[in-house]
Parts: sequence; C-alpha cells; structure tokens
Amino acid sequence: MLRHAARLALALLVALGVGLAASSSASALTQINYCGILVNPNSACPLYLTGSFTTNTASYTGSGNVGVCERVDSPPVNLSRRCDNRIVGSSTDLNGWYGYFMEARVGNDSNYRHTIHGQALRP
Amino acid sequence: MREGMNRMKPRRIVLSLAALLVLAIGGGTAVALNSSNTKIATEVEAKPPAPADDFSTRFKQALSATDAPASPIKTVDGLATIRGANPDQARVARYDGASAVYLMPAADGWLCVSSTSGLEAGCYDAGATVTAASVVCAPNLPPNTVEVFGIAEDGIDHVTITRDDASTATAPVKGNVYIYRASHDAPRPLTVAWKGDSSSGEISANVPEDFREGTCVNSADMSQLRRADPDEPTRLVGP
Repeated sequence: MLRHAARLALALLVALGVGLAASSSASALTQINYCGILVNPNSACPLYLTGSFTTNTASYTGSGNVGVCERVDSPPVNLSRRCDNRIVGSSTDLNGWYGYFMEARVGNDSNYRHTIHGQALRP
Repeated sequence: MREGMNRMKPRRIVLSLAALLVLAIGGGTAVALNSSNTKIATEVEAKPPAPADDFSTRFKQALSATDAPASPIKTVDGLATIRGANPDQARVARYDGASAVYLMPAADGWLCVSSTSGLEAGCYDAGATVTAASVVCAPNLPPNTVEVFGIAEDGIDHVTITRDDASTATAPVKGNVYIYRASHDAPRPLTVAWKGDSSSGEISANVPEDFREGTCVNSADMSQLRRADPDEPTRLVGP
C-alpha cells in the first residue's frame, strides 16, 4: 500500500513538475528584480546585475516626484543611460545587444534618499 | 481503527507532498530566491492592454497630426509592455520625415510614449501635465548629445529649458510632444517650464550632473565588447 502511495506521489510530483516547466517556458520574458533599497541622493544603487538583458528599468513607487535613472554598460562601453520622473526604461536600446555581457544599474537622481527598484528583463 | 489509520497514511503522504509542491510552485512563480537573495520572478506581470477609451482626453493634439507615416507602430518596449500599453491604439504625435513618436493608452489611465527611433520612450500616470526625461546614451542618439523630451497636455505650445548657466532654450510642442537636443559642450539642462491655457509650472529636466561621463555605444569601438557566457547565470553584485 505504501509502495503504491509512493508511486502515486512520484507520478504527481512529475506531473506537476512538468506543468511548472511548461508554464515557465511559455513565459516570454524573465523579470529580475534588484536594488529595492534606500539609495543615497544623486547616486547609483550599490547593488547591480551582471548578465545579459533586453530591458532595464528603474522605478520609485512612493509619492512625489523623484528622478530615477537606469544604466546598462557593456564594459568599457555604455549601451543605455536614461533618467525620468519615477519610472524609466531602457526603451529599445538593448535590442541587438542581447548576448553581450552587461552590467545593469539603477540610481536615484534626486536630492534625498529614496528606495529605488530595478527590474531587468531577459528572454 | 489502526487498519483505518494505515489506510489513511498513504493518502496523507500524497496530499502532503502535493500541498508542499503547490506551495513551492506558488512561491516560486511569485518570488524565488537565488543564492544572492535576488528576488526572481519567473514571469513578467504585465498589465493587460488598455482599452481604446482609456486614452487621455488632455492629449488631443496628437490626433491632429496629418503628416504621419502610414504604417502604425507594431511593437513596444519592455516598460510599455509591463505598463499595458496598447499599440493598437497608438496615435502619431509627431513625424519628422524619418522617425515618428507615438502616444499610446496604457493600463490604469497611464500614457506611454514610443518612437520608431527608440529614443523617445516612457510611461506616465494620469496626472501628468508635462513630463521631462533625458536620454544620456542610446545607440541611436548622435554622439556627444543629450536629449530631453516629454509630453505636454493640450494648450501648451512650447516649453522653456533653463540650463545650469541660467541661459534658456525653447522647444516647441508638436502633437503633445517636445524634443530638445544639445551638445555635451552646451550647458546642462536643469529644468523644463511651461505656461499653458490652464496650467503653468516647472519640473526637473532629469539630466544627471555627470551626463558627459563615459563612452556611449554610438561612438565606441564595438570590437571591445565581449560576449556573455551562456552558462553564466545572472548575478547580483554589491557590497
């Protein structure tokens, strides 16, 4: 009986596991959240990502106007750098560069400390 | 009784394992942790595309563009996708003969900007009257140039950019969009001011103080770049 139960459990695990894999592979993009900490005024977040990405965004989710910046380097070159109020993305700047090594950063372009969120997307 | 308990045991094992797996999947889909404690979501939580009637009524100038290219925008960038921008409802705001700038309704009453050049792009909430974004470096940006662009609601025909030497420059608003470009040799743009039919104000131009630093891809030797190792995972780096 126990053996039967174990087989059943294994079958269930495999079935659900395949389902998870399918749902993951069905998603077009993977989103990687980073930073999410208080960032000093007019400074880059000390936490950044390395890898290869298709989009990098910076955002501030609190109230009021706060300048935020995103930056993606493929050392020693800068591929994208943009700033906007509260939320900014790299637009199509990284199109054609996916596959190259990148460093993705976000920053606080205001005169006060704020929590800045970074999001990078990759296939 | 004991026999009954023995009969229940396998079912409990199955149910417990299933519950654990469901919990693991649920947590994993929303937030998974890697060794660096980076939160990694397996799917982009994009907003559903905005319906046609969500388009702001305060940005009607974009409707009057008559010199627009025939082909509509087909794709939008990552940020616009996340914000639920609807390219089917895109309106050509301005067209200079080479590139077009579009306004699109997005989820929650937001408005997104997109352009065929890729330079003008962004998303703004329903309260935006005038916006200001800077493009410090982009593959399509001319070398040693900084761009400030934004949207401006109906009734605003130009914006005034004040620079860090107190000089000013004027950028006309066409189809609810203005674009200002300056050489790195010019003073840093600091603020964008406007005076319209129903509002006036001044906002930061959002140009970082060190905007002249670094080598932008548009003037770089591309042979210096290295390919990413496909086996190397995305890593969080920091102190």
